[in-house]
Amino acid sequence: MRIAELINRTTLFDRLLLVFMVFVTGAAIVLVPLYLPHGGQVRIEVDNKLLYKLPINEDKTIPIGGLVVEIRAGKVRVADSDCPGKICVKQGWIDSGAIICLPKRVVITVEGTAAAPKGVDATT
Amino acid sequence: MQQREKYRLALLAACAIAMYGFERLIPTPIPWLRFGFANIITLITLTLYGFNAALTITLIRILIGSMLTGTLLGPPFVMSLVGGVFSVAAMWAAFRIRVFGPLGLSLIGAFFHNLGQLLAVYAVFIQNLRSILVLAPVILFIGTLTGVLNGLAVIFTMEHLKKMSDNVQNTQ
Amino acid sequence: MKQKLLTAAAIVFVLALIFILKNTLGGTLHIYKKSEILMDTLITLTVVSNSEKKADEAIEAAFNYLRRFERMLSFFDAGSEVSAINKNAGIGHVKVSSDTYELTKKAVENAKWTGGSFNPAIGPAMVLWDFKNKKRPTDSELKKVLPLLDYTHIVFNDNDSSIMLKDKGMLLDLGGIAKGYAADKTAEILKRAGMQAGIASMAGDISAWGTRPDGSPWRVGIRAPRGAPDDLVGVLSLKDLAVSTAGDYERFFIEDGVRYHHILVPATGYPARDFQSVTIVNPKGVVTDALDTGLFAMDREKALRFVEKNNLMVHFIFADGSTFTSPNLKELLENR
Repeated sequence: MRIAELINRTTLFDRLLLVFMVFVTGAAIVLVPLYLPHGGQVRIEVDNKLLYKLPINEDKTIPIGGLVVEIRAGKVRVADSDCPGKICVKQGWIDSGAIICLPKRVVITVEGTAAAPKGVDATT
Repeated sequence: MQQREKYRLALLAACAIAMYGFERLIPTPIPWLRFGFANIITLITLTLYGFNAALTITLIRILIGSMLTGTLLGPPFVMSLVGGVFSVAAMWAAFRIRVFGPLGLSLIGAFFHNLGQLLAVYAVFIQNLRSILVLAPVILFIGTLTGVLNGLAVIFTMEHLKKMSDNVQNTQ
Repeated sequence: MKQKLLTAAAIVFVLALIFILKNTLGGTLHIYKKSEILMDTLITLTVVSNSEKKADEAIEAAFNYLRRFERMLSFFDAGSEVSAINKNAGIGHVKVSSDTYELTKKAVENAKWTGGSFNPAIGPAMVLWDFKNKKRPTDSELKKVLPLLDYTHIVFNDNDSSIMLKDKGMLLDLGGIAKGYAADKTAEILKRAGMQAGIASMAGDISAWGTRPDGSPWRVGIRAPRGAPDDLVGVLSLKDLAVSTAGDYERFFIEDGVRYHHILVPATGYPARDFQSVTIVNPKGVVTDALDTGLFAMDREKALRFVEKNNLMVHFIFADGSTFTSPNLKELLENR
């Protein structure tokens, strides 16, 4: 029995369903990640105290001490800092994990994102 | 239950387990990607002998299959269980409305099998809705493809069975 | 009759299903995580628990311990026990808490083991370096303090758990071992509070026990010494193991193209030159923390011999960028 014969035995509804499912699941692969709210909350802690809890998809720029924290397009970064190493600034934009400025005792974490940053639980 | 019926169910369940064992031998690029060949047997049982028979052999397959692979009562077992029951129920409902052939039923079975598994994963194991939502379309898409494969296999088998029974009747 | 039997079977099955789901659901494990800045680093505690409340309580208890620990051991805090020992150098014994006593003992043990390459008496040389303001000491300044770096002159009295530094000017500096010890102790506290798995991460000193909720080992990344802070050279799969990394990128300044960093060779008082980073894995965090510094301060050949002799699990990145992974670590390490 050839494939064509097998296909001949399918009903109209079979074929409609197949087209529909391929189309819908295929489109969902592309669309779901696009429309899912990326990230969640940005927590900004200073000296182990929570100062701000902001949604990551609302653009905002906040000065804290000598730091300028910028939230834009679902990502957050330290735009500027007057600390010596400027490690926090060099880290750039993040959408998961944390930015830490030790000299200023500032911790910026993104909560509610899917996986651990870079797929690791800790870094040594 | 008739003795004959019991033998038939046992035989079909054995077939399903064999299919299940066979497909585990096929290496797949992604660990959770499975063809679901056992659904061929489930679907044939469903069309020939009805819902009860199909559910029975599905449960037997899942129970024995998980014993063979050593996952009894573990996460994969719960996933198969929920997926299996979902898919048999959905296929039966679709069968009753009489517009779908084996291909459509197979697609529906694959879809609900995956849906059941995803719900089980979400309810029981993974706290992260986001990653499941991202993964779901991919799994359902692949399920559609394997569903086509299994559906065609069911058509093929059913045709074959028909011919054989025709032959048997002709020779009698 | 047949129908009834099957209906009964279906009901039994559904009940069994609900039972299994509920059982598994009650034991649903989640990862809980909290960070605080203590001991001049970011401390992150991660636990696996089936109850957020229990996890929060355990984490809070652990942070309480760490806050006390910080006050006892800080090198800079004038009120700390370490400061008291240093103030009384050449004068007399100072009674200390069991943690400080045990930690100092462990420090001297590890100093002996590494032949002084790890040295808890490095204080007098360390204070001459100012990495924040990019100031380095002169040769003669360093030479003057070298005799004060003798860890055998740390004297213990087991009877009243007191410690004395024999010579005036000596300075006890437990910075190279305290975080690993804290990681061990924190892990113990969390375990005792019923947390069956987790990670106590004192910046680069990490103690991991148990597994992730899905049964896989914890994944700990090793930082790339010359990359961005979140670039990794590899990922370790750890279960009931501690890991520490000493790197020349943690505290440093560059002057005339030379990198001056905080890991000093006790024999010279100058930064060690043969490594960019040393990562070591061991069941005990106190060992990994002491030895990452100890190995880093050795020269390349000596470090390799030491690793082989003691069958240590290490990953080295040498100054020239080449790497070495000990055979016993290879199966735990996935290179990036």
